[in-house]
Amino acid sequence: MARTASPARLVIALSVAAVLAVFLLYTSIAGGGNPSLAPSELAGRSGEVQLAGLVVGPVAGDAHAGGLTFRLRDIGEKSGKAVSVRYAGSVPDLFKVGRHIVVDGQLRNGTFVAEPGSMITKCPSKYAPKQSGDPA
Amino acid sequence: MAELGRAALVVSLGLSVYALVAGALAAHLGRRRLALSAQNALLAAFGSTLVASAVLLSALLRNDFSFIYVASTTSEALPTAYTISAFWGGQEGSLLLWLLVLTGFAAAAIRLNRGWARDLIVWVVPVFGAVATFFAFLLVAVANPFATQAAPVDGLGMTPSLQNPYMLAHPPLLYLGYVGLTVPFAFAIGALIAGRTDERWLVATRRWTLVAWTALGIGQLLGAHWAYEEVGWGGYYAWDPVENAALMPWLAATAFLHSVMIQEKRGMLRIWNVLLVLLAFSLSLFGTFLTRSGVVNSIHSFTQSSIGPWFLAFIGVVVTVSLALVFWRLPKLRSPTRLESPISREAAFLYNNLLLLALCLTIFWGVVYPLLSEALRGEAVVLGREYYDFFLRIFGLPLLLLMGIGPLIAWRRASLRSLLTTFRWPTGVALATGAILLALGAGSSVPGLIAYTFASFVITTIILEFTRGTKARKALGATSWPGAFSSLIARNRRRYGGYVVHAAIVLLAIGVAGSSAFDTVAEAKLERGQSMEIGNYRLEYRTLDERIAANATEIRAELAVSRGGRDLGTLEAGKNAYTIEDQVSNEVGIRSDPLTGEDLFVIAEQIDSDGTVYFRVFVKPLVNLIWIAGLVFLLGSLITLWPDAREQRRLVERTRELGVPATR
Amino acid sequence: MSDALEELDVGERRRLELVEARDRALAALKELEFDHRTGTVSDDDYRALVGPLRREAAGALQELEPEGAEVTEETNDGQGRPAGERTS
Repeated sequence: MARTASPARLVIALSVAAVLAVFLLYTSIAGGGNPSLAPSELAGRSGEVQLAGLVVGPVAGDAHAGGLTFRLRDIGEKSGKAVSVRYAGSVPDLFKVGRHIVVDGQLRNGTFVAEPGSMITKCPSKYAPKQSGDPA
Repeated sequence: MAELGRAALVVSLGLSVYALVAGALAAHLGRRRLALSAQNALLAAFGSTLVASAVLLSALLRNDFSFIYVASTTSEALPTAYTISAFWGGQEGSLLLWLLVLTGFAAAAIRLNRGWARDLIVWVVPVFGAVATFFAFLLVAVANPFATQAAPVDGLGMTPSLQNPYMLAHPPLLYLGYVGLTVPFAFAIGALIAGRTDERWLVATRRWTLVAWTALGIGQLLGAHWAYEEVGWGGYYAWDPVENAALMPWLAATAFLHSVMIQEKRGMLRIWNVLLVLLAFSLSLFGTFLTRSGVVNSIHSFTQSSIGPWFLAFIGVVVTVSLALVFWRLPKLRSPTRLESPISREAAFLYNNLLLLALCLTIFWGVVYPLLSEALRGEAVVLGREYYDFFLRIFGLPLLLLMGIGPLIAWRRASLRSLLTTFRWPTGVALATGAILLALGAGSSVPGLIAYTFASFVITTIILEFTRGTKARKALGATSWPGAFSSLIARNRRRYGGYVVHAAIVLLAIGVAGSSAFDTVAEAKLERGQSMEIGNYRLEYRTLDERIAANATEIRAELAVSRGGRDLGTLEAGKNAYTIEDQVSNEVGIRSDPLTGEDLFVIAEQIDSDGTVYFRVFVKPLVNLIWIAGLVFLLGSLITLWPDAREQRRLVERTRELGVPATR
Repeated sequence: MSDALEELDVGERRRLELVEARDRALAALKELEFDHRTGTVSDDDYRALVGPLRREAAGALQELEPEGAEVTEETNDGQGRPAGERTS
């Protein structure tokens, strides 16, 4: 009744190979994700990135009509260059000046144009971050 | 008072260290009294941790803001129930909860099993002692819940959106789950050290694993429900690291639950099971670490957090030592039984395990990759929702199908011919359902359609199993059909309880597919009196009300909902402005349709001063099946967990044959 | 009373493993009967599987009772209620 080589080993090896193949295929087609940058690192970067920073005023406009504009500065910096951001779509409840937020988008003509609905506020002191944006 | 709490924790630390050292010595030297004293030390550690917990709880209830912890997590105005929940709301308190549940579970597990698995228990005690030592050490030296200050007038309060009944139950359940997984881990490691190759560690910990797994599952569902109703962006899961933190150990535990069945029935996969329980426990620790250490945000906040590096080090130690033990005992662990055929129930369970692990590891990679890339290249690369969704489908859909195949294949090997007969009906029903749904327009989402088709396949197999089983019992001489049905379940609790759990997962899959693949969204900026349409609903914005509540100003837009001309009542959506915490929260309006299970989900995104409101509205089909699935899941788990007198008698018989006392 | 820990000696440990092996074989037989009765396992598959399983159970029983005790087939053979009270 003893078999020389257990089919279990073969099955596992093939499955692992299959999983890796699927994984590599996905990352080569869909890309490996977006870099997460601080505002000071944004200069000159093209392409879709994720910007993480501190909201500084003035906050103007309407996110549902024409776009909300504000500026983002590096977290932990007292002063320094801030990047101006234009955002449209859902704004999380916790958004205000002084909040740490994350938003996806691209740098265009000196302004970071955000992906609609991609803003997420982080709330590091409590264990559940607040978020909005359309996951569907 | 704070000194009492701190002293109690120091005592806990001392007792845990004693349990570890004395326990290991006693087991190694074979000294009974020393072993007993180590056991009692663990029990006493539970007692002292209980004292420390009582001190913290009383400080919370008294609003004693001289405790820094109380001041930072509560306020005078906070309702009592939420004040209690602040116990685990902050880092120090949640670690204390971990230690409390750990020592409690350890004491119970040891007491329950020491009558019949004495030689195994002696080695389990030091393992529990080691884990307890880690948490007690953190509480004493790194994250002290009893730090004091000059009492401020009022505390900082709790984030308003956490003041929600779901958030009362969500963390304790998750902690029951995380800590609960320590029990099978401790027994597995104990058995490894002791060099035992019998299955007693599995039998002893089966119910513990089930309870922990159920708690983790329900806890996550509650968290998802909270996210859906409270956070209110229209979804219930965002693949956030803290969410994944609980999902990963649950997936590993699911794999473990299945593969131990193979070990019980065939004696195979011993090494695999030890590795799996190690993975589940490590992911529990990792999950606690993810949620608590701030590493979620970036690797910089991780290095700045006080407990992050400690957790990582402990996980490293656990993994290294456990793997070394496995390697040491490898010759003993090898089982003579082999997988006979790639078409058998064992094989199906193996595929199930591989898929679950693949999903678990892709999620792990998604969480860890940004941290790794930041550490290696200085730039964090984040993987978005599309990454997780893709792999959820690739691995989840075959898993769904497998739930219907596994139970219907024979053990050892099944012939292809028998497969054709067994799966004739389920395949037929599934294809028919798929065709009908396609005709109804479900082709708009291919993964959604596949999910529905697979779900109908699995449901058919489950119904078949129940009917065939009932028929068989009736033929054996049961008095009536209901009698046959209940005796079927009573005599085969684990099997049919498992089927009920599978049914719950199918409901979950249908609910998730419906609400994410087939939902609709519409946005409109409305003035009072204006209407918008979505699907076949019509919403008319009537009035805007402002109310003053105890701790917030509530603004609500009232909408009249109608469908096909029929009035369906009103819905309110708006915002709460919390005075003390200076925060605004979204209060969504949800109308659940009792017949179709779909939700009309209204978000008042932006309320202008002139009363114009920007609305974002979803129609989420079948989303309520997700919550119903939670109830079915609980029912299935209860059936599986229910004590079985017959099984007890058998265990007693068995140990009596050996001449070893069998009392539990 | 001595201070030495009650350990299972080698003989007891071996016996425990044998008892577990026996229970496993008997449970597998019972489950096969159940699966056959409910129609999960076809007649052909049943005939192919039950022989080796019975031999395995008999072997496990014999290892436990090497005095050549009668191998009574405790489990059912498809007719009537199972004699042993065991869950599957």
